[in-house]
Amino acid sequence: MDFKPLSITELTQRLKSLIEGEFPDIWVTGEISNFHHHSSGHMYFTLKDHRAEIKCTYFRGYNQYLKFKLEEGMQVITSGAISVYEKRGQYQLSVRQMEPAGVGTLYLAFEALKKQLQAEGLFDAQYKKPLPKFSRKIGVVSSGTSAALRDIIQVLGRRAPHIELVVRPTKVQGQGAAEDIVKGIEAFQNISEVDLLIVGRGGGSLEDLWAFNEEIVARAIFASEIPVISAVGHEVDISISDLVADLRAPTPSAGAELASLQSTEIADLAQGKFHEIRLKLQSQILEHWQNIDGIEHRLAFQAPSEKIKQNQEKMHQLFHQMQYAIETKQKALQANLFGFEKHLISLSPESILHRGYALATLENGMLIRSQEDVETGEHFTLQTGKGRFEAKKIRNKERK
Amino acid sequence: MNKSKKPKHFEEALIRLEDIVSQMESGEESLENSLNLFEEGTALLTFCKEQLHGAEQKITELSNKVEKSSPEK
Repeated sequence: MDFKPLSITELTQRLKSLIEGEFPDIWVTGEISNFHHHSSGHMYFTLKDHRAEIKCTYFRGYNQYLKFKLEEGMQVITSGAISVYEKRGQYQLSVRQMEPAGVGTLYLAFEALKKQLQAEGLFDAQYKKPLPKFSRKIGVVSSGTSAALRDIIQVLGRRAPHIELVVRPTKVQGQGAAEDIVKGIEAFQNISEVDLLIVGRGGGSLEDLWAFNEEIVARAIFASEIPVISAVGHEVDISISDLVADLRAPTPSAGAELASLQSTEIADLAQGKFHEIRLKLQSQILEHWQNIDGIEHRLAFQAPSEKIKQNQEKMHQLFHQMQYAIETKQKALQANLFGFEKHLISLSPESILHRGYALATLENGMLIRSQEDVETGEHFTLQTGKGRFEAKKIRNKERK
Repeated sequence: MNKSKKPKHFEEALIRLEDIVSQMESGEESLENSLNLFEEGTALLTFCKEQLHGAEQKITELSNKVEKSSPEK
């Protein structure tokens, strides 16, 4: 087996993945020392107890929401992750959130409830109801005098004056707040036509926001038939209400914006839909035209005139056949007649004359048929095939 | 022959019209029948065209109405 030492980088990277994988999200309590708020906005300090200490970073992106002033020697409770700073071979706590140590029990309660409800599936995406696109009536469960309510009214009044707002003034902090919020949510379930609920309050300390981390509030939001927007505190404050609601709004005014389309947006949307429908209709009609034109063409082609023409042709043909038949008949008859005529002609006196006979007639035109018809010495006319002349009877002759 | 029956809808007329043309195209109809079919087909065609013209006109009218009612931007 080859002996192959690890490089420092390799070792550090292995330690880094080991340590960071083990502590991605932890709660740590201790005392602040060596506090330094850098001009970049980032905070650097050490957290310690009587036996150990750890370097901490608290970057500007997280520390801007800190609700109290950090001082040396202060006992705090923080949440964050352990990270390894490779360049110095140093492990440290990257703080994401910090509270004075006194509220530590609340964090534990928060974490426990979050874990429990998560296990029950109350945060599951499958239970998130879609928000109505066009709310007409929105219910607000919030303090009747708070800036949060004022923000909501202002945003909705500006964006969507057509939306009716129903406010259930609610106690949002202190004794009985959670119960009152639950009653508020439940009260809206029986008000008809409320499409959406905004449940929330403005920013405050963890204790101030605590009612929104109570189990009964979470369950009331989960049970609501009406979609719920949770709008609690500032951007960084994540409450149990936020997790269980159908939509989390970072602030109350953001909640109001998420709850409504601007009326001009709605008008544009309607206009767009109208155009869409019109185009669809028009293209449908064009398709019908094409269809109808095709049918018209086919129908025209099938017009009985074609049939009439065919029949006419047939009749024409029949007529011709008739005509032919009758002509043939006629010709046959004519041919017959011609033969007959020839025969007749052959029988005429003239043709007999041509054959060498002559016709004798008296001056009065009588035909001479016997010796007795003509006196001796009487003149008569002899007609031959070609010309005639005068003759005279000299005497009778004996019959041969 | 239900030539006297007036169609109620465009689609109904269209279906009948297609039937008629196919029937005529089969070429097996008598002259008298063809003539009847042609008469019915022509009437249906006119009806269909009128319907389409009517629909187009309505769309134009309604569009004008919408455009008039739109708020100025």
